[in-house]
Amino acid sequence: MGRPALADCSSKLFMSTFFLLRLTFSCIVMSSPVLAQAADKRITLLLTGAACPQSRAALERKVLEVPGVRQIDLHTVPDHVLIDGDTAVVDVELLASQVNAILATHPPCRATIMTSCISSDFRVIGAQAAPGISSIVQIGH
Amino acid sequence: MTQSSRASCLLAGAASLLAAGITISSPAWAKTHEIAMTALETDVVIDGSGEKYAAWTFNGQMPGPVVRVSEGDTINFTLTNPAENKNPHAMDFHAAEIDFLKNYRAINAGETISYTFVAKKPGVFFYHCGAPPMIQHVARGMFGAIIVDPKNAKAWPKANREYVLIQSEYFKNPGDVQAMFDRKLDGMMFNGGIFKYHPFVTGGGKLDAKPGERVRIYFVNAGPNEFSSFHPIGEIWDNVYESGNPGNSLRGVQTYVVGPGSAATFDVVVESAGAYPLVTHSLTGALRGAIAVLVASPDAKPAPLMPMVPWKVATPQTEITPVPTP
Repeated sequence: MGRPALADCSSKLFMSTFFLLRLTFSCIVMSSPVLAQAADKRITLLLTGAACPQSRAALERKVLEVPGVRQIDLHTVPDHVLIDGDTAVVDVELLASQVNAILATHPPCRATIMTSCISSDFRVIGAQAAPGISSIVQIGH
Repeated sequence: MTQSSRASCLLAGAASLLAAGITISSPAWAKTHEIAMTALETDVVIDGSGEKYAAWTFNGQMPGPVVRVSEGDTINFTLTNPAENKNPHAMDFHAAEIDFLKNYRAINAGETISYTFVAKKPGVFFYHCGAPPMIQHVARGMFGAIIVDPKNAKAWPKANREYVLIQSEYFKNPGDVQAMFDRKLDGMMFNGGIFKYHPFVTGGGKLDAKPGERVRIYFVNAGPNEFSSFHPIGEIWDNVYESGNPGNSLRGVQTYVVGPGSAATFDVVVESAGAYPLVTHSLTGALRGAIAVLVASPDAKPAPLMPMVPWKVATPQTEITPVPTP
């Protein structure tokens, strides 16, 4: 799609921004310029380890106590935890370490920031995105 | 032959032609459907933050309702343009083979138009408003899908699960027709939502399946301008049916291009549990919203054809500050 559109200024900006972004796992990265004003964002963490199913209850309870966290979802995507939080308060790396601190009582289970092709996080990199989208979205393979 | 016997022959011939005509248009197995839609100029939610868009719609939803009939069925269609509306509207069914001038003309607010067609060819077809400027009427939401099931159900493999995905472009200023002509899109939507089926985005949902199921995607590209390069990340389309016609079958397709105003049906048999993002691999579209994540899980609940409902945000979003317009 968008063959002629790629020639115009906004598309040039968009495409050039692409190449300034980190390429993680061969994925192309994009985010919103208005991230600082966005309120809620979803953080996705991958859970690995045999004890993860047993840690769900504790995780659900304790993550909600973390300042800025509004919601936690362990059911939508298998082996992942989706955490909705206030972007002004929640830092993704800090949250991941807080989650791992909770999981430390249920070894072996570990949370890592989802950085695959469809991951998103809070970091600002200044590309244009659709209105209402303030997370970084990565795609490719 | 006398004049009276010639007249009798002509009468008999005319009667048999009429009977033949009736047989062709209304076979015993065919049904007649009364389909009524109302053009509604109303706001709809287009993303997980609750952002609203001043849409023009069929029946108040973007996309409009899915019409599903069988090959050979007759559709008696009526479009109402309520007096409260400000614009003319129309309806163009790509599944129909009827006179454009008479049937697809725009009607003013307060008017109604009706026409009849027979869905002669199986497939998945676009429908849209054709009132001028058509680019704006489509961009603002007046589009949808009509599925015409083949009369022979064995014409293709039986699907275990079905979804409808309609790709369309989002222009943040619905009144800026020039931006539409200039292809300055601000987002790309599936079923009227930006990242509507992306669970890693706030408010996003997903599509469900069980490993081993044949998932059938009825895919329509509403445009108005951009091509879709539809691809299942982590999978290969087992079958692609151009225009959704079982007779137009391709096998083992990685990516298939669906142009604006066109459609295709995609089958994928997901082999193992996991996530399989369905995207337009034209990445400017995918990264602006056209990602639908198919999650394959053994405990996926059975589901009928995807209902075409307005975006429903999973959690209350009242505390969210809308993203300011740059």
